[in-house]
Amino acid sequence: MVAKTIIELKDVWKIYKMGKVEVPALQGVNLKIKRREFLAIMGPSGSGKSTLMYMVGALDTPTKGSILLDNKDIAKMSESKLAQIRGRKIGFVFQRFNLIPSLTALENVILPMAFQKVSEEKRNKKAKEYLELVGLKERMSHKPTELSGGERQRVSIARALSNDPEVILADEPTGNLDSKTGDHIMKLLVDLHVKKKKTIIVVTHDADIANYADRKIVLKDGKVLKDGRHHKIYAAE
Amino acid sequence: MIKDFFRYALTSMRQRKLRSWLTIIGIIIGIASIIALIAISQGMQNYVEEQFEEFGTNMIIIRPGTLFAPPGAGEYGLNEGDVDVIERVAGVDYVVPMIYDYSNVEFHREEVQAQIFGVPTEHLDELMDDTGWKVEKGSVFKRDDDYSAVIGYLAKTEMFDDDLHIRNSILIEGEKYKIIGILEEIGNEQDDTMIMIPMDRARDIVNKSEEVSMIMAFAKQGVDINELTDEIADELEDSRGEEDFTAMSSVQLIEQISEILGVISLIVGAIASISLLVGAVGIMNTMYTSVLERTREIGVMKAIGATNANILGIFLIESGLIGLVGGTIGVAIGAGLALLVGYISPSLELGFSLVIRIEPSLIIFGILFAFILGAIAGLLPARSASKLKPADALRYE
Repeated sequence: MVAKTIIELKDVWKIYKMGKVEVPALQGVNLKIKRREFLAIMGPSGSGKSTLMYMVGALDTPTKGSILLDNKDIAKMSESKLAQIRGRKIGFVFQRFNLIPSLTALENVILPMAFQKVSEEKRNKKAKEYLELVGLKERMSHKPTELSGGERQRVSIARALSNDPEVILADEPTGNLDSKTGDHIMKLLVDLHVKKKKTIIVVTHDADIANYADRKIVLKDGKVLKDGRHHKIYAAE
Repeated sequence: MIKDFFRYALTSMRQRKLRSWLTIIGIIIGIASIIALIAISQGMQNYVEEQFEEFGTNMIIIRPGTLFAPPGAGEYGLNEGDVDVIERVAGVDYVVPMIYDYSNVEFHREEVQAQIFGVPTEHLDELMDDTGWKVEKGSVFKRDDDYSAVIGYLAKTEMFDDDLHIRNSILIEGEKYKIIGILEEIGNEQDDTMIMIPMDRARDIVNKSEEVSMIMAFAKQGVDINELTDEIADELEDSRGEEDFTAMSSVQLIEQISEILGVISLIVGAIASISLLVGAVGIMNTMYTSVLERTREIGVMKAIGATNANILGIFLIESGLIGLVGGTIGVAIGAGLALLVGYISPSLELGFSLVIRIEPSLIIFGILFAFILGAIAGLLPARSASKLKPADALRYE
């Protein structure tokens, strides 16, 4: 059985204008991401991996080329339509956690469901479930500032899960954590991949983190340098 | 979802307590001054209307001097000759000259300076009718009453340590007068503390045989009061040779007062509006700062599914809430201020006391207005927040 493609990038270019200078961040990227893949996007800083993440996450539209999400071109969608799709299909985990500081852990997890107009009863129940799943049942009513880095990242994973999206997109999820806490977070993502059958995309510059994935893409100067399913690719570099 | 936005806006305001309160204070000042102003000018308007009802519409007051120099006790710019001139003008029903001065009044060995008010005994019943003055106890003097006095409502209790009663005797410049009547409250301190005595007695006391302080003329029924006032003024000017007096009908007087009140309200209203405008700019400033500060947060919200309309709503509700809180407190302070002014107005010696009523519609207007003002002030910042590109907002440091 051939797994279905969820996200497909076709000759994607992204060019930033810095004053009069045009800086190409992506130069003709082609990429197919299949359902239930665990994918790592790697590359040094300036390689365009952040830009690629924004494209894959429908947070930005390409200058040229097309991005198909479930066979629909996101470049042709209105901003609110994009927001709706992001909210339903993709769960984001950020390096700096990006929790809303004025809200409690529970409220942070509820927020994406509120934007999808999920009923209050249902979203409370689900938010509690997800916080339990990431092991934070006891700290639901704490504000982000009252939580450790690892706990915050677990809240943001619970938040990413809240609308039951197909794809979890994690941008340097362990970047602000010590290695032990980082490993816990990665194991949690692996768990979601295995048990919840989520498609996981991790953007990282760290080879150890990338080793959790079963497919690795290496970007350099806005182009895909390597794309493979073997753990040895990066080591051979 | 709106409920979530309200909750979110509230938590975010609490997060920035000091700044929120500073912004709210700006609105409080603006709303409080506008509410106080409206309540006070309504009170004044009510007072003027009440006076109008009491006065009737057929009275013309002729005073020496100009409009803005109020009739002082002990001024004698007019005389009996003027009374004759006015009496001859067609359309005049009757004319009442008055003497108005200070005198020594003694009761139970206590001596005070009091206002005495000399009126002719003829036409007195008509005068009482036309001015709306009423006798609370006793009666006014008849034609042949001499050495009798009718006292004002406040004179009864306030003038001496001992209260005055009907049939008490008081000494005016050493001569004995019997109190035969007490008036009902008129509403201004000057009139309520007067001692009214027959004209001839007043002339003796002030030692003036011809001069009078003020003349009241009353129009016959069906006569245009303003035209008659002009005619009286013309005739008087002819006979006196110059216009060194003011003739004004009760209607004109009310209009004049209303006009002055209107101008005052307008000026103070304009100043209050400016303070409200400054408050609104304060909200706008706070919201722009808040949008800038929360750029990443906006990016995150967009990433997790917030539409532009959601972001717009969140920030509009926040700025509206700032307005709402400011408006609620402002209305309370403004109403309190107006009530305080009403409360102390008798001791301000304005010549009248204000009755302040705070209408429910005024409260609702104040609060709603502040909320809408807040939302409008937040519109531009909220729009700029909603238009942020998620990728840019997330990259914002």
